[in-house]
Amino acid sequence: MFMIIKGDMKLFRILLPVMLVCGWIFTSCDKLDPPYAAVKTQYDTTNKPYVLLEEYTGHKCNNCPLATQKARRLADYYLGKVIVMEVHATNLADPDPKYTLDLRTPEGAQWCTDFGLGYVPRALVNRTPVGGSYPVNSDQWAAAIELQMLKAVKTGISARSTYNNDTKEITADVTVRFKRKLTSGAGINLYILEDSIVGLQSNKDTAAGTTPEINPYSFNETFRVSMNGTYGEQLTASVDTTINYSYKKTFMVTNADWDPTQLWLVTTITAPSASSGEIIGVSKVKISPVSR
Amino acid sequence: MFPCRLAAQDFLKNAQVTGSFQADAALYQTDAAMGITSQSLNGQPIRINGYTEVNYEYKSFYAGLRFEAYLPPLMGYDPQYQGAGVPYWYVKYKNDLLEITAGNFYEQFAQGMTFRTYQDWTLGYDNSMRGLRVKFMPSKGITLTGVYGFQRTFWIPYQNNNRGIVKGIDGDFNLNDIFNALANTKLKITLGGSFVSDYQAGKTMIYPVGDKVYTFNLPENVACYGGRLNLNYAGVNFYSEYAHKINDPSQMNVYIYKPGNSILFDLSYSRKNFSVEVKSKWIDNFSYKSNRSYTINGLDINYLPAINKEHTYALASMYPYATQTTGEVGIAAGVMYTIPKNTKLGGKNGLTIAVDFSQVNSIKKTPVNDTTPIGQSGTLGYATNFYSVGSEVYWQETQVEISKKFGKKVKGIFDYLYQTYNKAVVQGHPEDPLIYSQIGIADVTFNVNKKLSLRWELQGLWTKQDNGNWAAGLMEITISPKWFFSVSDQWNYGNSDAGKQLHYYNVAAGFVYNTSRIQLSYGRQREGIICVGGVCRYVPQSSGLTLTVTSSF
Repeated sequence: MFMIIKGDMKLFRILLPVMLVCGWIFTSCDKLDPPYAAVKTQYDTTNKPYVLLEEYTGHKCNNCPLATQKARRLADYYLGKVIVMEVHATNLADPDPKYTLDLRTPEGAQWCTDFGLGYVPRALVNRTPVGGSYPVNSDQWAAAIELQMLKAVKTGISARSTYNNDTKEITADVTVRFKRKLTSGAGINLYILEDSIVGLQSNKDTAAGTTPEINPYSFNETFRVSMNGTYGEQLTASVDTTINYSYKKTFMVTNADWDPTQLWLVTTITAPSASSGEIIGVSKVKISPVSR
Repeated sequence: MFPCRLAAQDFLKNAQVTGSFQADAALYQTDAAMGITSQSLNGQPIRINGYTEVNYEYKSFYAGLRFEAYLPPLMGYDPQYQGAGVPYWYVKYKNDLLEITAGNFYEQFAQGMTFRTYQDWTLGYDNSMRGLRVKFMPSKGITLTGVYGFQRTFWIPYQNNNRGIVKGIDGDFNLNDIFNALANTKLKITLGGSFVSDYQAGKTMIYPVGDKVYTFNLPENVACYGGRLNLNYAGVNFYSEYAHKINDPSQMNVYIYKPGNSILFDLSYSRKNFSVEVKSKWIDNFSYKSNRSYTINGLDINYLPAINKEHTYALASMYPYATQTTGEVGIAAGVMYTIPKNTKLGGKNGLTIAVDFSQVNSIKKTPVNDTTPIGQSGTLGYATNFYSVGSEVYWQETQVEISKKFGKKVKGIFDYLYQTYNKAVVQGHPEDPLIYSQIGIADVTFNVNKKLSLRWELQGLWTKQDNGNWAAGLMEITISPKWFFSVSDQWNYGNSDAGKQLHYYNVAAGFVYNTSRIQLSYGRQREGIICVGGVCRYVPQSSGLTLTVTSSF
């Protein structure tokens, strides 16, 4: 017969790892008991900053409608403090004879590459890395938002925007007041979003709508263009909390598909610069159609 | 000083260094017929995946590293790979009692149902562990393995608990080696067991479901454990492995809390000219990842073996099956018989016939109560009985293959396959119906002389669903030992859209020199998925020039 145990030393050699393993196994199982979930009461958004949830999506992405539904639910839960922007990108946003809408933008494609989105649905939350990675999967959006909500309010943004029906020109007039001293400058980005674009959307979740497609599907908060370039412009090289920073920009609408009554202006303030940095402030206002 | 210098010289002179190199480069082009525009190429028509591995061995000491570069990654590989660096390195010490590895390592417990880390460049997959591995061999027939660390995911560094810490232990016991009384018996018995735990920080998370927002309780430590048995007697082999996982709510199972189960059976018998094998598996909610948020290929702690056959012929592998970790039940059976030489059927050279069948279905799921729909997040999700079989067919295949030598110079392989493929489930396209396809293949090789051989493939795929009928042909010339050339085409002549009745042609040439190989090819790649062991990667359509260089030393 086989015999491994000869003397106390060998017994110790066997027993020690066995005891360690038993102890480890005992502490390595978190068996939970129901209820596993509890409904959250409404969030207290007093003195909480606004947060940009930038969801990357595509009309051929059948997981996207449920993710978008979650994004909107979070926006409701945080009482409007979460601003959702839908960026259509990746090959799942490509148009084809069936999915004819083309909601892609050069900015979206560039951000997708620069922030390593890889696939959709995923989101950037204030363009801040979470655990070393910028893209956040849909189940982690709330956790990423919570991290942003823990931060102090750093800016106050006052924005006004109009669309001139005659000249087809959008004007944005933004004033920014910094509530915290920043060690360097800040950048500003002006994004135009459109609601209620109707089209065909692939879908596989009955909780989000009909399957395998939702037709008609209303694409809301759809990113259309950045008024001041892919990564905006510098607002100031240094921040003074005692003064108001004003920024004006105009943009000529040439795309006849846009519905001027459904446009919104989203302003983001980034630090330390427009091209690199986290979003430290965001606001969303309706673009009001006016006539000359 | 002097002895140190001697030792250092010894460390260099008497060491063994091995390594390998692989570079896959592509120059993509626009192709109007395929709808590939400069925008689809994203301004990056030149792409390369490169890997270089160097291993050092000196007495009981081992070390190695692998450099990788994706600049940018080839189309179809996750763009998160973009970059270059050394994601894999290790140092190892090994003697008869112990083997200790620090750094990166690949390890597998049994078939991998509780733990497996591996890399596969075809899939663009690497889930190597970085940490510590200890193997302990206290006696002949006993191997204890412990692993501790975190897994690789692209180039994302481990920080702020952005993935789990994986710990595992495995014991493998060969009873014939352990017990003298069994040493000379014909019955060979091997037993094993493993326990793995994954720690992911965070006891709660906020998660919207329907029109409400919930706080979900989360298990920070998710354990998975299993056991296996292998019996071998006179050509008959029986293997079974079972694994159980405690509550593991994740994005993969839509945050349900049901424990997972997985079981595998494999019974085979072989003797000269004949073999038979029957396999079965049952998987119930068994995705196990070290990041509960991941839905892509990556950070898998375990591996669920596939039981269906993998095909190398282009049309036979057009609809490959991917393991459904949320639940599946499958059976596979295969018989192979070689009719002896100089018989009526076998002829002068014999004839081999292989018949294989496999089918995978859903498992039967029922609601946990009257008010909770199946799969509802934040609940147990569903109930099921052990080895329940659902009515939905995911995959079915019947294959008959005949291999025959015609004289000394000609041999042929002839296949007929009938496949049923649930594209809606396997590829996540709910709008697609079940695909029923028949496939015929003829593969003939003519060895003209010792140096020159010619090979032809002729294939056809007939289906009324998806993209309709296909035909494929290939001609390959091999001039041993250095050159090979091939011309091939896949023609989607049955596509209901006349504009998509495309030819996916390819011409290739290769040169082999000792352990190095260079291949240049030009042509089109059709869209699809490729699978290895039930794990799949999407391959987008492309057109252009590709260069592959491999070498080892």
